[in-house]
Amino acid sequence: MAAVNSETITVPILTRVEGEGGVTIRTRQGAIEEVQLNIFEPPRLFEALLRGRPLEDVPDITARICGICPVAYQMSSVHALESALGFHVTPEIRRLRRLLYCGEWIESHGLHVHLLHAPDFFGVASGIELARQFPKEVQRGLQLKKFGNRLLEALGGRAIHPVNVTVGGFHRLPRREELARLIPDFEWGLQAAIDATRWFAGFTFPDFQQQYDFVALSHPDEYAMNEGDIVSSTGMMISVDQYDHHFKEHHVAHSTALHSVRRETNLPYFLGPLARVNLNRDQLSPSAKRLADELKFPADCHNPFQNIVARGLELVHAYEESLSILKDYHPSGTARVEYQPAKGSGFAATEAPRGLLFHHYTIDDDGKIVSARIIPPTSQNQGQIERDVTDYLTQRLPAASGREQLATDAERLVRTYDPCISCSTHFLKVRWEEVS
Amino acid sequence: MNGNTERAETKVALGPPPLIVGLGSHHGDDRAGWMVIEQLEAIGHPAEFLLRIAHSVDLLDRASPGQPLIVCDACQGSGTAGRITRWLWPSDQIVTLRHCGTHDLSLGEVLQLGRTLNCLPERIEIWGIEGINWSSASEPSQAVKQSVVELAQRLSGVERHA
Repeated sequence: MAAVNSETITVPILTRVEGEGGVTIRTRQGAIEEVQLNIFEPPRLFEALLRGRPLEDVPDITARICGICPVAYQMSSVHALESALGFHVTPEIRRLRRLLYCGEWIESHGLHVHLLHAPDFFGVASGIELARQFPKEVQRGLQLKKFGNRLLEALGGRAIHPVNVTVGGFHRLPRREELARLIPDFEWGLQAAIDATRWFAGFTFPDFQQQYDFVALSHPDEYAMNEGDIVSSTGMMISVDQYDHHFKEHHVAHSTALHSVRRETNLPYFLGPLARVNLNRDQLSPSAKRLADELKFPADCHNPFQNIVARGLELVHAYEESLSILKDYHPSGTARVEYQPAKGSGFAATEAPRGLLFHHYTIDDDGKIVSARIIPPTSQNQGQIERDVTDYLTQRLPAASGREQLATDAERLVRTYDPCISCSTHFLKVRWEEVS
Repeated sequence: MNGNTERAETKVALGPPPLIVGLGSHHGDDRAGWMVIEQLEAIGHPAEFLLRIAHSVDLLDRASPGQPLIVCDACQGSGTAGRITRWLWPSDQIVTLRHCGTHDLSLGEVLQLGRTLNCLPERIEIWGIEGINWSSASEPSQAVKQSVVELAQRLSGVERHA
């Protein structure tokens, strides 16, 4: 996919990432001068679309922002709106929301690690070629992903853009038997996820370590998914409503998505599974924690290529936590906490498969949306991806066999972040960029 | 009705009824595959043989070697808006189609993957409806809406032939 001339390497379309993006690498006198992650997805103006709508519409509309992680958008939106309205859901609803989120992590991580990321470690171009070499492993990966979808169907009403989520809880609580019948699949899945992660950990990882400012939610009692404070590896610990005091967005010409930096440093930061595992390792489920120790996964891992192992550990965690909730589930309470519309402002951040997803809403007395702001993880990671590619290619330049190889290296590094370049539209037009 | 639709017979060999999969999203004419499924539901086609998916790879969740498979999707480049085109897979035309899926597992790639893993039937029918409007969160075009009804009517006969 790389187009190369004397000064510019262009990867016009990044393959095996979510959405439409590319990378441009500029060199000068043999050195990497600039790397740009180009995002061509047209801004979809969902925030404007929400203005004036009843708050009840928000979870279903925001779910349509992304075909891969609709639950993340639903969860961030309902938590922010409930914060604006000033109420909390019941412990039972809270557990079911975690279960739903586990389903999305399983589906998203299961697909990415097996079919999108693993091929890079074997020098093959696609999951199809990988399946020829490792049919059992890929088949296992598809099964793991499938059970995530089954969970989303059982709890969310359907796998694509779940419709059962509402502000205050769910439209309907699942019956015990609807969830209990998933238990055998999830027992299989827990062991399969452990085996898969052992497989990933045996891959050969490029020798690339960076200094990162890892950022993720953290919660005192659980592996943070739906709520928590925002913490960083450089010592920040803030409540979610302080987000704007510590992070800022800015526009760059080569991307239709805003970039983000930490206000204190004016530098980018790193979100996603590797950040979460580094910051919250002690709260992984027992099997995931044991596995991390068995695999000697570094306590403070700074190699982005190891994201695949971090995703594997989270896959194990999500299966184990799901299993625990499925086994203990005996519906007893209300499906939805009632509330009265009231003027207010609310913030929330949850951990989408790719990292922290921030929402902020203000609502009026009638429960209509006055303003909405959504900051997805991939836009926050853009700056860090560009820095990583710059440094990685600078390191690789002396040994690289050619610029085609460098372009491939860049593409592989970008894929470690599993970027979700905002989408849902099925068509991906190839843009061939002629650079002179 | 679009005048240049392909008039292909939709018959399958005796055996289990086919699984009909609609591939789509919420955005404009990309919704076509889902709308075909919704139309089939509306005219009473058995729900257990219908599936709506947003990602091609999800068809591997339900497809099996022993059950005929029909996939309905929006397409681009086959002619005027609303044109219905039928392909039979394996077909070079499908396999060489440039990626048209958001997660870079195009329908062609997923079918190849399914074949590699022996989890798909030998032959797969693919129906495409040419789209014109791909805007986010927009309504499908009138041409696509009309063709959805026509395609669903054609496919509703599939089970009776089975």
